Amino acid sequence: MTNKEKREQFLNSIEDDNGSWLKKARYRKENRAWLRKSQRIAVRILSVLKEKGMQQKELAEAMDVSPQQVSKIVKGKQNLTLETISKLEVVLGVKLFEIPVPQFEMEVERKKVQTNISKKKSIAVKTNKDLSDMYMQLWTPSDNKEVAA
Amino acid sequence: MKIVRIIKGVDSLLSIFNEDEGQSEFEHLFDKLTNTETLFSFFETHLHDLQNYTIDEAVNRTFDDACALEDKFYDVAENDNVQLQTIFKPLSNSQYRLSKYQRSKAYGEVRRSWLRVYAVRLESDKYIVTGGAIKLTQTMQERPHTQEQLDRLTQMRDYLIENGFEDSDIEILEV
Repeated sequence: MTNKEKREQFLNSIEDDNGSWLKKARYRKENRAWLRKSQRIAVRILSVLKEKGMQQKELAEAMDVSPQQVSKIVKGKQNLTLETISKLEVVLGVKLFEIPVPQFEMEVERKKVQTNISKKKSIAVKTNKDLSDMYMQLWTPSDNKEVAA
Repeated sequence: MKIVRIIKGVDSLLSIFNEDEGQSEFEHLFDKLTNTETLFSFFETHLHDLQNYTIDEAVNRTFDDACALEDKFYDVAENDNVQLQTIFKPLSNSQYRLSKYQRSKAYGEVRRSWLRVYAVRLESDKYIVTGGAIKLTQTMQERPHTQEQLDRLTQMRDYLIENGFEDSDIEILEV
């Protein structure tokens, strides 16, 4: 067989793949926003398991789910429900997902609290934690009486 | 060795078919690069090669790079105007001559990305992907997983020569 014939034979032997990469790539692109969150959560879970020296099987038992379910979660390809995330947080003892308080709401809360504080007593507000602590103080039942009085 | 077209009817992007995995090396690579557990385990093993990165950061960085890289190939699949030549660069930075079977690698979004897709260019516009890797060392010979990729490239080149292709070089002109 000549080299030309060998080349032709080689080129003719190339087959079409089943096109699954393209389907997967499209899926990953279209679902990137939640997939990235799922991946980040999976990384955190794996880190915590490593820190605690905990096996995936133990995590599955503690969550009362199958080991297969945990295996899917740590691959970072699961569209996790809030229920599952909450279960994971309880079992692992760490936060996996937090909703930031929008700036506008923070400003409204800050004004409310500052107004109440100025009525009550003068306290310096330094951080959001201070603000949050004082807000909680102001809205406890005993404090409400004090403010009302 | 079985070679497949990654995109149906498109002869420019080809890949070795991984019989064990039942999928092309190209598809297998992106499956691995988007699997958190696989990446976490990889960086645990290669922790000493990570400079200034924790495992978490390395995994997250890899996801970002993999997304950017896959998008480039996706653009080729979806848009006829995007050429693979703009993605692949010569394997050796010091090479001045492009072989007819030029060993090529595709970079991620930026030159500093540690992701690599390895391919052999055949004729002017046929790229046969042999695999890919996360390259954390200066040279491919320094780690078994990148050495394996280098071996595959050599095997692919030899296979092409067995199949009637010549090892003659194409000279590149310099401006």
